[in-house]
Amino acid sequence: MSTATQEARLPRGVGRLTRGWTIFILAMVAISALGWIAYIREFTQGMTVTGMRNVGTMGGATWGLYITFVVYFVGVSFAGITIAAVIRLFKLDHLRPLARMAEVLTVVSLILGAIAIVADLGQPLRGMINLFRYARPQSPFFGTFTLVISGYLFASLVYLWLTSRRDAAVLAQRPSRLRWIHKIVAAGYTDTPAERERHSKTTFWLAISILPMLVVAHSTLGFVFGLQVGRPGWYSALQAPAFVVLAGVSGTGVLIVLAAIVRKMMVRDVGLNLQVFAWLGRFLMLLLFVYVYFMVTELLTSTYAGSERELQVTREMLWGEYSWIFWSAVIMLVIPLLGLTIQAIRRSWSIPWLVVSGIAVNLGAIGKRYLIAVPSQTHGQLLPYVDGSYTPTWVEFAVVASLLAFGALVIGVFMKVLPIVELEETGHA
Amino acid sequence: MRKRLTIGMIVVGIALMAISYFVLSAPWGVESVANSNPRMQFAPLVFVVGVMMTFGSALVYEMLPDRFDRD
Amino acid sequence: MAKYAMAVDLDRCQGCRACMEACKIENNTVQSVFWMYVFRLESGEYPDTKMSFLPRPCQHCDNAPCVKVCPVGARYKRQDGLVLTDFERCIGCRYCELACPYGVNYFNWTKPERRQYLDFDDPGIAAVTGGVLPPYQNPDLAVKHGEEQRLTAGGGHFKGVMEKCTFCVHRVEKGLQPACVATCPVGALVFGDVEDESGEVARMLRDRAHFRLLEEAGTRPSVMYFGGAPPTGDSKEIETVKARV
Repeated sequence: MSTATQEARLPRGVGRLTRGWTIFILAMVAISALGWIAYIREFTQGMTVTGMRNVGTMGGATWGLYITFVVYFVGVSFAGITIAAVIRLFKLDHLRPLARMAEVLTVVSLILGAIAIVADLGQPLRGMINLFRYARPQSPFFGTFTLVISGYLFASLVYLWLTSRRDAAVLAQRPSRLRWIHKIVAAGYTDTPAERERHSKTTFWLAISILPMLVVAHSTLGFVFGLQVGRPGWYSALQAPAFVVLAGVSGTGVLIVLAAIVRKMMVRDVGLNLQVFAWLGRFLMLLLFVYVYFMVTELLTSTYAGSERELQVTREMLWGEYSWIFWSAVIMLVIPLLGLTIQAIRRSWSIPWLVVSGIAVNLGAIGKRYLIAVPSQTHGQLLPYVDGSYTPTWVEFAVVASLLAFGALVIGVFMKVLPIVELEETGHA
Repeated sequence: MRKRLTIGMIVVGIALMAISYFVLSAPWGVESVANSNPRMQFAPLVFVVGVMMTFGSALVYEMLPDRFDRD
Repeated sequence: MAKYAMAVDLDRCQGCRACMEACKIENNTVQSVFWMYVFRLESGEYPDTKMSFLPRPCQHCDNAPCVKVCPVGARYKRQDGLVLTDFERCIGCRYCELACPYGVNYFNWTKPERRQYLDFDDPGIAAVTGGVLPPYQNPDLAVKHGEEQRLTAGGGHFKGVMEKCTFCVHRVEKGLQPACVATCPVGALVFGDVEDESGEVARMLRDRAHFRLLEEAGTRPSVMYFGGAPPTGDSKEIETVKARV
């Protein structure tokens, strides 16, 4: 009774634990464990083990790497529902192979964002209870907490489950070690015409109703920063829209990388062809154009007529302490934009170049998120405090690395439990 | 039955959201910006439950067994 | 109901920072936390420099951005004008610290025991206090205050929560003046009910011109500055505190 041969028959590599996959998972577990050690240190000794310190007299930054990555992870979640909505609403069926991995990416990155927020709290256990007990609508965090973490994440999970049922039902028909999971996920799916009709209606309406959540989610994070009149460099009406667009940039970038990896892993052609990558490339290009426009607008406004303190923050970013991050981020966003534009004009797309662009725009997005958070704290005091500094410690790097590893781990495990690319309509692999 | 249950869940979900937000949490009036307590503790939890109910109706609509269709 | 405000006479302030010391002793704040802070500022270029001093308590704003952003309502404004932090409810998100334009908030990054003004658990404490036992740990700080009955006074209760100047709520409720006001050797700090026509604060408001810090931020602070001038763009801080833990 060879379960290996039986599982070798499951489509999309489900259940087949290759050596490369196992090594990858073990590495991710190791990095996650390192992060746990770091976090336990932080939890017991207090956040003094991080590089964050009070603004003002203490000359530090009180929100640092953790908040950078909270915003980044919530940003990456842009990908899933956008692809899903676009497929349903505009009938772009050739993008179907992307649908499931985009949804998984959304769910995983939202979970990572939620964990990162908790890691940043001084009293995390109390925080998790008190937010449910006392959260105030006047605070921008109310929207982040209720609609993003609870609403957007739950809705995406519902969407992921409902769209996975058919494939799980197909897989449940075959004997395998994972059959019990497939049966649970399938939850009695019978593939009758009535059922398919219901499914089509439900996913359509779900996609439509999650779309406003998307805008709210990223805008509300933008408002956390943009409504603070006491923080030069933050107080801007452009924060909310810029957050939404940069979310799109990073989400699409990660999706390109993930799609390329899945394409390499799959033995047969699952529909992740050049046409799909070309669409993603064009979408990323459009978002990058809008984001570069926002960046130029912000720079022009703050250098032309900014207050003394706003000018100081901008100066630090352009040629001061933060200039290396700023210019690296700009290069990481503009060079891919040029590359994508050239490819779009010549109508010839190269997947390796798209993957490089995807990685680069994400590094640029992380840099930009960092620049939104930190310089306004160390150099943006309205009262004449001495300028401060902030350097993240190994604890912060470890926690962030472990979050990234945990995300990769969950996606890797998901790939082996359920098909990462939807099965074709006929239901045969 | 399926349709009624789904619509019922959506309506109850939205009602919970509206009530917990406007009646129980959101500040009214001029002095409201400093308001620091919800009118009922755990009102935000009710809000979250309302959101989950609204989206959970999709699960009900799709996954309710067929025998409930007759009703 | 009283409405408390503080008047700071910049013509009198000499930058001695006794108010900072008194605040630390009264409120048992931890190392490098300065609820009351006095800027020593220098403006201009040598040899045409001018020095000025600017005491900066919490401004207890009427439109406090810290109150607006607190996600759980731990930072709240009382009817008598004080803006206080309920350290039992605070979850340590530090959003109030970022919303405040004045930089008066302090987060407890670590367990406070070893960084207290006096290490109350240190067996050698008697030598420091000159034999006075028990060492001065203010008992008022662990008591609930106000009609809301919230734990709000005093610093360094435990790691992971925010704190800031309370206008010495535990003293005010007993009819005393805040520690900084009571200690100032030149009477530069005046505290009282701004609605009491016969009170000193109201009198100063009537008789003299005053300004508030960062009025353009729309925070409506309750601390008024008389004499002197607001810090300008070229005011630089000198003689900063050694304030990084």
